[in-house]
Amino acid sequence: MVLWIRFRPRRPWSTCLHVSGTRQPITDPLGEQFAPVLAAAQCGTGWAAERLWRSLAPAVTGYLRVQGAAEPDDVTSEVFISVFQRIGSFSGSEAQFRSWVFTIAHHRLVDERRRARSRPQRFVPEHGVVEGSPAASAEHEAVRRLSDDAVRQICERLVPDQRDVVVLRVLGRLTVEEVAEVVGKSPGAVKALQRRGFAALRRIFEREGVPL
Amino acid sequence: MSSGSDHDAEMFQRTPIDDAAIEALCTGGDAGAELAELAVFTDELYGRGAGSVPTPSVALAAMLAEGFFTEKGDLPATAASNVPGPAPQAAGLPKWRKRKMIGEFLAGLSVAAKATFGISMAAASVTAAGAAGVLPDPAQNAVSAAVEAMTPFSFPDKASDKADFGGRVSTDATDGGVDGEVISEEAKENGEANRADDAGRPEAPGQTGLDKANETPAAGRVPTSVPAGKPATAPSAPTGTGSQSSTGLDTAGDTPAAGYTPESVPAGPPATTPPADAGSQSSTGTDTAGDTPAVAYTPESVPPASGGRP
Repeated sequence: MVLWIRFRPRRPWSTCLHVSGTRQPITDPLGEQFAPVLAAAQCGTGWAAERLWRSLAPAVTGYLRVQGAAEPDDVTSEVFISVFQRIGSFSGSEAQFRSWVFTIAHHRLVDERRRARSRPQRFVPEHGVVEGSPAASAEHEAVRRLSDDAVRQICERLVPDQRDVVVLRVLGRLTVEEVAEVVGKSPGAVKALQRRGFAALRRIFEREGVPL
Repeated sequence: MSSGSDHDAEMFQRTPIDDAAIEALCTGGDAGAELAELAVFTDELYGRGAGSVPTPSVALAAMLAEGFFTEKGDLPATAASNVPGPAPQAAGLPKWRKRKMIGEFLAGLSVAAKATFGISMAAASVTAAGAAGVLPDPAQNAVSAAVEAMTPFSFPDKASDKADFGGRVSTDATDGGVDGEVISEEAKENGEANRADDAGRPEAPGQTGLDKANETPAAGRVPTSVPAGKPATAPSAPTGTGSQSSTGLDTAGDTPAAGYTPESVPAGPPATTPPADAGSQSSTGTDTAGDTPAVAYTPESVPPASGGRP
């Protein structure tokens, strides 16, 4: 359970998170190997597809989890199945491939939100045990989930459009133009959304406490 | 949402976040001390994508292990040249929509435009029919002449082709490029066409073919008359044995060129000299002639070599 306590003496909320401020590489960029790996994947080669999967799947799963997807791992698998089915028609750089994958993931997310609105809500345990998860230990998994929940609940306080833009820009490492293509808006609108989104986040951190 | 605390939030004095600071927050750069907490949050948000690789679903695991088919349908071992191209578009507009569009198009035209459109369509139809050669001969000739006068194109003229058949054969023969089979087929077709044309036309009594012969390139050497007495039907079987041993002068007198037939055939050596002791091989032809279907007309004897054909 996460409680939000107002008027509490503020302290850096990041101390509640297990990850310190040191930035880790979000993915394993292929760099110069991207072109031959892509060409092999376009021929349906399994090892090349696995390289692409390992390179981008953590980011996609994180994006879906922060956005509140019910089953982020399963949705990630669906996203990459769709990616590999259509990869023959793709041409571009690694950054463009990344943007393309996030576009598919975002569309999946929108579809899931639409389905969730049209069907009755059912209770889903937020911290249920995921069988077969490759987490190193139960403690690590618990801490990770706590951090995930903290970040996700902060993001949920943003307007959906602002949240999409901020998460895609920060977690997806997409440019303004790439985010504009993903969400189907103009670059100017994306810039305005990200400006308002970061302003709202700053207001939250300034006037409210930290999640416990 | 935080709508209830908006008034409290306005109490804080803050400078707006500029684009450079936002870019630093998004890319992990230095956003300044004022945005330190915001930078910490963006670091945490960024770290959400740095977790372990998720477990793929069964379907995806199978794809990663065994390979897969892409959307284009190209197999891993298929050559690039064998990859099928994009499928043709399945269907266009429905028929009712096309009819409606044409109707709306015509309804929007003025009277003059409608008349021009109708004339253009009629002209295009006649031109197309002329190009296909399906018009009656007078109309075909008129259309061909009009099109050839106004455009650089020319239509093939069937009548002139047929009339120039002999000339073309002669030219080809001169050039040494005659294909007998082709010429035979073309002549056969022309003959059938002529017979079809003449089927309903009454033949003039007594017409012997000289009229048509005068239309050929050999008109200058065609005799003016045909000797009478030759039946139109097939000749009957010869009654005498001498007819088979004719030197050719007899039958030459029956031809239209009878006037130019020489009186006699110059004597000469036989074409080949039979060996002295030829025996059965020195046959004059009478022995083997008896084995042919014309055995009833086989002469009793062969004329001497001096009287034979040179």
